[in-house]
Amino acid sequence: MARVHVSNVVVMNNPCPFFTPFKFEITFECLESLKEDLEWKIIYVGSAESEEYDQVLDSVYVGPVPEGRHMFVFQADPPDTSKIPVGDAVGVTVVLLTCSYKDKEFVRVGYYVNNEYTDVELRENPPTTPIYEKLVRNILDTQPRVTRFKIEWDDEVQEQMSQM
Amino acid sequence: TDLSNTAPPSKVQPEPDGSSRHEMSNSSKTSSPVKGPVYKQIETVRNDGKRRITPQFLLPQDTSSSKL
Repeated sequence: MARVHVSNVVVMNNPCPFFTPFKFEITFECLESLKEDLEWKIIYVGSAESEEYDQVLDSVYVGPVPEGRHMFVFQADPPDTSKIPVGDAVGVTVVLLTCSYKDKEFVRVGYYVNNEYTDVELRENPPTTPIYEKLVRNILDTQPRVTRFKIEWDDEVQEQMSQM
Repeated sequence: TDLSNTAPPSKVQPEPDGSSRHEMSNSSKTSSPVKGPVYKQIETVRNDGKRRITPQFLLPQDTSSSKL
């Protein structure tokens, strides 16, 4: 059974210009004190075609985590535009918020992100080379996609052994 | 209530300037053990140079963050 449940994520700075930092307010509940820190990451998917273009915008350790409810704000710089394929700069992509314990990912929250020009002329005739300064990023925060993975938590192996 | 695909998180309005509602402090010191609940977010740097956040502890009656 998972010892950490993500109960709420608030997407801040949304919508915003492309170069605004990503900012999430994360609330989670811990059912039992953790011996080690949690590791959170914000990953920007540069292209749907390949994971090669995924960018880890930032990672941070969160701890100590005693039993109870906790909240923190996780902020990360915007993606490096030189690593985004030109054809994928405008349109829909994904940003992922992941959490791992002892290097094992146990939850992943994905949001669709729409990058588009607000200028009508640019929308109708997008330049070959993206003008990032004129792009607005809109995270579709009403439709998070949550994936959970089963991992081993503290003392779980010993507990299972003792129950045998 | 757990975060789920069918129940998106309710919107909590950020501050007008888009800033966090939670106090943050930065430190270049090595992280040290924290005793007792922490009621504000604290950010430090670990010995290995990685950022570490001690989250804000929410009291059971604290409703500042809406549940799903």
